[in-house]
Amino acid sequence: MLDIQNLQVAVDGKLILKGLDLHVRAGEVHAVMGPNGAGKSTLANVLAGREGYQIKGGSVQYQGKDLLALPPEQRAREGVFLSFQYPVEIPGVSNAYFLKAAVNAVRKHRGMAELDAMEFLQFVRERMKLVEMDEKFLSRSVNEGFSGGEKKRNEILQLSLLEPKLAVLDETDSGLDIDALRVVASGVNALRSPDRALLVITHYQRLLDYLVPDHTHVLLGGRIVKSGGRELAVELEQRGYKWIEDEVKAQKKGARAEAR
Amino acid sequence: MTTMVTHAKVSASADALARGRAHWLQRAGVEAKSLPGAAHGFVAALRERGRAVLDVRGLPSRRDDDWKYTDLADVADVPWTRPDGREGVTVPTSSLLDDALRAGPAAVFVNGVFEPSLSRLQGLPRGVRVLPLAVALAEAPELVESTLGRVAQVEVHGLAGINAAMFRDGAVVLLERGAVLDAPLHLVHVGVPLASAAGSAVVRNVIVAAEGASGSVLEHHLSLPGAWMTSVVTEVSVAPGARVVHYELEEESPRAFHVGSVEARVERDGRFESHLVAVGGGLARREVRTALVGAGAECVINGLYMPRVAQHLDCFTSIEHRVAHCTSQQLYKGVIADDGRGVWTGRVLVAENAQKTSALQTNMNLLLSEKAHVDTRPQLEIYADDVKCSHGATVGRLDADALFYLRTRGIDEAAARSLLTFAFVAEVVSAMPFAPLRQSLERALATGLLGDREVAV
Repeated sequence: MLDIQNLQVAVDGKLILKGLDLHVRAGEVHAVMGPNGAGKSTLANVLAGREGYQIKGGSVQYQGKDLLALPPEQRAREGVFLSFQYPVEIPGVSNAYFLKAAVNAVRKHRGMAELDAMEFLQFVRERMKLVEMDEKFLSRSVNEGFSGGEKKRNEILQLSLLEPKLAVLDETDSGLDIDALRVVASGVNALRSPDRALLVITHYQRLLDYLVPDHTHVLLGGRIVKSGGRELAVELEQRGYKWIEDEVKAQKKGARAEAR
Repeated sequence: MTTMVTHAKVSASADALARGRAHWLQRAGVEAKSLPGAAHGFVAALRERGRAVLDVRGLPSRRDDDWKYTDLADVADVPWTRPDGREGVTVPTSSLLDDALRAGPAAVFVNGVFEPSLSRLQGLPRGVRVLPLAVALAEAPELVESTLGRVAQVEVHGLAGINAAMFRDGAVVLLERGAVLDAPLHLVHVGVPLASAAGSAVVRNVIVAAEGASGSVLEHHLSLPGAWMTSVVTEVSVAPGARVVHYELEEESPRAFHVGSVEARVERDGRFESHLVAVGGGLARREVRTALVGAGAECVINGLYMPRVAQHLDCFTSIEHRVAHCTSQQLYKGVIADDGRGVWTGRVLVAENAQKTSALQTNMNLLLSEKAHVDTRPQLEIYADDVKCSHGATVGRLDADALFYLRTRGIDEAAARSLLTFAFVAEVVSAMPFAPLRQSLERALATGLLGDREVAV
């Protein structure tokens, strides 16, 4: 579903991703973990199509298409969803209107009939239950004055409404207390299916207690330096990232010695 | 070299303004005898004041600080004439109001003169009286004597002088003590340009709300395509405990020159609201001048100006807190697209004895293109020391993060831009008390901004 090969991305001329490889198949849950500054958010933003990132090399294929050539709205319609680390507040735009516009934009692209006001209301009510969100959030402005947890619930609500093929969760656990974390995770779990893939980008592994990954990758210095199963995430939680950094250094040293 | 060019420009502009002054003085002389109210001393005195202001001050130039960003040279140097007749006039379609709203009570003026065949003045609530100013001056001048020329300022600039000297007709709206007029009475001013020459109308409306009365008026300016000038002054007298809501929709044709002013005098515990939506005209200047003259008086002065291709929209507000314990709130927003140009000046004057004044002023501008331009000037003059005054002016572009967020949800860039623009203007519209008008404007603005997409609910 998603094939990232040797991806190199710079921000303001500084190389952040330095040859990243990642392969995600339908139905899989991948966790990308790494310390601050490793390039986690850059990866999420590049996949969603944010401006300001210069692609210096490599490629991203999504369902056989060149993802990087598509504008953000096209990626969304094709089934790529980014849950923002910091969801944006949009004063003056009602959440209901926003959600309906998004749902219908995506449905239209997929050749489905657009939902009218009543149909949409029914649909959104049902999905709000999933993330235990009060209906009053429909009439409020998008994310405006929402608490951290409410914003993340609103993200997962959008995820469940847009029914993407590939969902990228960028630090979805940040700023959540344990109850909110459980609600958000169960909302995501409810959407897991054999034709849907999840890319969970996170600093900590606590979200992974609920969203159990099939594969865990360590992102360090702009590259995936280690991959493993669920147990790698647990190990990272216990031992931190230092030992991997040391391991990488040792490998490099070894490689250099060999070259000599 | 640069200096010489600038000098040449200034002198060409000054010449144009001088020719404009001469043209209007000449017209004032010719038309004096045919203007209504000549027999009444107070009218004659007002007209003479107007003529004198025009004579002495001429048309405003950019050296006049209140006109610093608006150059009248091009529109001054046009021999605006008064159309004599008109044939088969219908009211132009409106891009702002839906048909249902336009079916209500209305006084319609074509080329500045009352048009009974297009007006609907039956079924007004008790205590509400509406008549043409020309009729009032001929038959019952006492109805307007306490307001006409006593609220609006004449000495401010030559265009105010032209209006005072040469108004021919307009609406007189009288709200008797305790009268209630909830659904706004429409004052529709239609300009029908001549094929052969540049046409003009000089209009004066008078709104008088007696003690405890409450009413709303919607002043609507439209013109058909062509060279057209509207000069309009609306005087509003708000007696103790009375409430007047004035809506103004300025949607003249793209070549029109519109200069208009709403001026209110608000007495003890009275309330005046002004809600402006300015979208029309090639060059338009809208002024709202409010004087709070009795304790407990309050005003809400809101506006929306949206210049687009080649349009220049200049909004000027002045609020005078003359006594203590008065409240004013202002919210003006500008959306400037294409090579449009917006100007906003907001003056708040708090007199020395006007303690416990509360004056809030906000002006926000959204530039939608690289060529869009706005000049904003909050001007607070505060002479009292125990007051609560705030002001803020911003100029910005659409929030890139919000735009990206919307796009990542499948909403295309154009729709996302429109949606954010609509969200920006909605705040001004949502402050309008009359719900059907609010809804009509929301629909119109959403359609205009969102294309034919469905509107926010």
